[in-house]
Amino acid sequence: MPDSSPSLDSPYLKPLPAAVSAELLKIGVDGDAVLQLQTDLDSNGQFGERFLVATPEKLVVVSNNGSAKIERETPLADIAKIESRGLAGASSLEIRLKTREGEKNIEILRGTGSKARELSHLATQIEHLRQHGEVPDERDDSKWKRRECPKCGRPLPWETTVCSFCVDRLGALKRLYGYLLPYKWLALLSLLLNIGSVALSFVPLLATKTLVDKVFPPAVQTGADAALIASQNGASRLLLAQIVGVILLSMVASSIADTIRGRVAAYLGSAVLHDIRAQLYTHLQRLSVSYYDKREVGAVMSRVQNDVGALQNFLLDTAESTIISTLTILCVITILLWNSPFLGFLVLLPVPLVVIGTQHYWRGLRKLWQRVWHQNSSLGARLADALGGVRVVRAFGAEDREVGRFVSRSASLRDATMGVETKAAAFYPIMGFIMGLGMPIVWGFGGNMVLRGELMFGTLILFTGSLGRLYAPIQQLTRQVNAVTRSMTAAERVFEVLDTEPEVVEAAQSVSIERIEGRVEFQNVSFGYEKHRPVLKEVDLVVEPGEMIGLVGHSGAGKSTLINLLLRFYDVTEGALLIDGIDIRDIKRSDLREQIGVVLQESYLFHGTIYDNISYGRPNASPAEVMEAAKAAFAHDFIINFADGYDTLVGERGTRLSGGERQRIAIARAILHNPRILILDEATASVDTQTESAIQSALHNLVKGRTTFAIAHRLSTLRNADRLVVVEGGRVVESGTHDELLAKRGSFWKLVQAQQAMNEIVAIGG
Amino acid sequence: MSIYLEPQNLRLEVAPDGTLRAQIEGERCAIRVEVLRAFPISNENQNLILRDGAGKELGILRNFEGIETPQRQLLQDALENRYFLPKIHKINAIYERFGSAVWDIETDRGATSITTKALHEAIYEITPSRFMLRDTEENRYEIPDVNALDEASRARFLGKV
Ligand SMILES: Nc1ncnc2c1ncn2[C@@H]1O[C@H](COP(=O)(O)OP(=O)(O)O)[C@@H](O)[C@H]1O
Ligand SMILES: [Mg+2]
Repeated sequence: MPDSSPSLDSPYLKPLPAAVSAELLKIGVDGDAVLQLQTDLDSNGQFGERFLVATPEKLVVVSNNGSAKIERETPLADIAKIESRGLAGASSLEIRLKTREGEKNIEILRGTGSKARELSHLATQIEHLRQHGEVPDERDDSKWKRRECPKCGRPLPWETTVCSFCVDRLGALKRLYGYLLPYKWLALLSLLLNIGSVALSFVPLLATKTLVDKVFPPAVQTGADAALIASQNGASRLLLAQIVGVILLSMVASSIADTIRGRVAAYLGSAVLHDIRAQLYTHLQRLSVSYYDKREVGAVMSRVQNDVGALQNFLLDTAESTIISTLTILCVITILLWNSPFLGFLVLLPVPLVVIGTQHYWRGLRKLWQRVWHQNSSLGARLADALGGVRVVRAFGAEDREVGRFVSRSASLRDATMGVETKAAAFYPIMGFIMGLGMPIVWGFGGNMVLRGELMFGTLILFTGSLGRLYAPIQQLTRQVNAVTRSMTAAERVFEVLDTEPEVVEAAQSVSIERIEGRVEFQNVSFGYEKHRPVLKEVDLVVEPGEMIGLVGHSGAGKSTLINLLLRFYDVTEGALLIDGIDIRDIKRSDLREQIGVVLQESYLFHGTIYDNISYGRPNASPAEVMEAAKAAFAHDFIINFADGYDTLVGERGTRLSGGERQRIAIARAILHNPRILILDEATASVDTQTESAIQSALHNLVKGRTTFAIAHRLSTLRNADRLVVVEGGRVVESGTHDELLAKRGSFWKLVQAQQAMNEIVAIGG
Repeated sequence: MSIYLEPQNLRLEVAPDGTLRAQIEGERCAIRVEVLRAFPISNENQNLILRDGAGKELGILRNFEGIETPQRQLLQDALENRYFLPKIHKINAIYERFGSAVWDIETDRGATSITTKALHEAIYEITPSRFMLRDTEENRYEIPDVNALDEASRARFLGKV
């Protein structure tokens, strides 16, 4: 029997397990399957393997736990509807089965959260298959099809193209050094200087040996008669002068090399870092809005700042001292083994102990340090929170509680820090002892060798000197292993961001539209922020160029979501959104952005002058144009009243503007942008009624000749709209003019009623 | 329709009460006229806004061009009167203590001594050579061009930035 049924081997469907294919064959499913899905929960909700296979005629569910078993076989004709349901932590597929007693809901398949998207997608596909007899044409299967890691074949998590199994730490290091390539000559220079400066630092030590052996012979050392010494040492004096000269020279050369090396290293590190930072920021701007939905802006900022900062430490500091320590150790070992292999071997005996001890100790200490670090940042967060919300704290009289919380956190920090210090206090004496062992070894064994005449006295001196240069770099290097690991983790995190592909991507062959006419068409659009929890369901809506549409509905109905699709912050899950008859995914992104303007409920003003903010969408606008736009948005007068006029700084550190003022600046920004499609999402919600009516008349001019979508909570705000569209639970339930909808006495009528009742309450209460 | 006033249509004069009166051809006469700058920092001599006493805008002057000298003087006086931003010519000394600094300066409005908070909060850069200084009373002082300061003043200032 073949491993899998060849008949099911189509380019779209993965081979099924042999047992499953065999069962399917028994009921005549043989090569005509058009859809299939493997899920991971059985009918009792236990983990288990189940398959759904659909042919144009029927649905088959096969379980495969130990043995394959057909669980269900239902003709498509008996199904009234198929839907996926998002449960908590799991998802299911339900059918509405037509029976003689009426329709019945039956769950046919179930999967864990990791199957949610596929289940929801499958539901739409089967629904299409049921209604049209064929599988829908998939434009883009990347949205629901799980990708696999090209290296290890494991399924990749959604929303990322980075496999956490396959990032190798050395890979990050290699990649980091890829950034050095543009500076390869400098890097080489830096390496040579490092080698030179380490080598030079050994000159005085080596000179000592010659001094002891050649310049000061035993006669001198035993303190013979002065006249005798003087008469014998003519040659020694010359040698002494030469050696002192060499030592001086090496010192000068070494300082020069160090100076240059420092400069080169600083330049290299900063340059590479700048390149990475620039690339990271560019990439962050390219990433889709959905990337930011799933992450806190703070966390993203910390990536840019902290992780790049950690890299900075590495590039500017760790990398270099690692090289120097390594070179120093190599030099010492060479010198020792060269001069006396036996004694060298003995002296190196405690080295493994030092390495293991330091390793072990640091591993423990790192955990403690992490705790300190964590306590520290949590203290900082607490502080920022309490001080940032100081008005709330006061208003609720919670000062004492806040103080208490802060003090208790500070105490945890104190304890964590003490833990670290205690541990450190024990470590150094022990390491000092082990490292100190080298000395008795040298004097004991080496001294005996000298006495036996097997070793020159100068060599013994060289050994004692070299020992001092050996243990410090070894310890440092061992510790640096951790620093390097930490830097590599930071590097990985940075690279992970760089490797994340934007979800909303420019089509390979994008269409340029010079001037958008403004015809907008939602064709059976479904969309969910999390793909299995649809927020918009089968929305059909056609908007003619120049039409003003008022979107109304309860909060959470999906109005802003419609707008987000139009702005292409997200792509539709099913269906299509067309502008001037072209799929929005095919339109060149810059053309789209240039011709769609938006004013949101909470407008973000950048740090900069009011002028900068208004001209954000058209940075080369003239002052006259800016002022005209501000006038149209009823912002000019209050701007002029600021001492600095249009030069007033706004944003985080600038003048505080009221909600209405910010909003009017944002509207001016949109007016200046002069878009073909204008979007107002509760643009006037935060301004008072009087300002609102002023803005309304400004908007009245603005909406002329362009397609406008306006969302407003106050229904009266939408009186200029050509057509109102009522959104309820992600569906368009009604659409028509104000009067038509009122006459219908449907959803819109209810909304109006509710709002009138509200206004009366306010009127009575106020 | 342009938002700008045509200079030849504008007549300015001082009214008996000492305030400014403006006559725009074909329109009513406005009293207690105020002149404001739209861009007091980035472009102080362009886009001047004329408003009447009630705050209603009469129009915007593109710049001083086409306005005769006596009237131009009136405009400049009005601006001078409204905008007070001493320009620092000379810094005689900066004493720092306890996180604040006392500056001994000479400006186009005369010599004075000002106190600022921590320097990085008090100084802000508009362009790399142009700076604003904010004292503890929220008054502002401008250094229009550090490079135009004398050697000693510049050294004092740049030593603090
Ligand atoms: N970024 C998001 N991520 C996940 N869910 C979201 C996001 N934005 C909105 N939603 C959800 O989508 C639904 C519709 O929201 P929205 O379109 O903002 O409603 P409306 O604008 O009509 O008040 C709500 O249930 C909301 O919780
Ligand atoms: Mg909304």
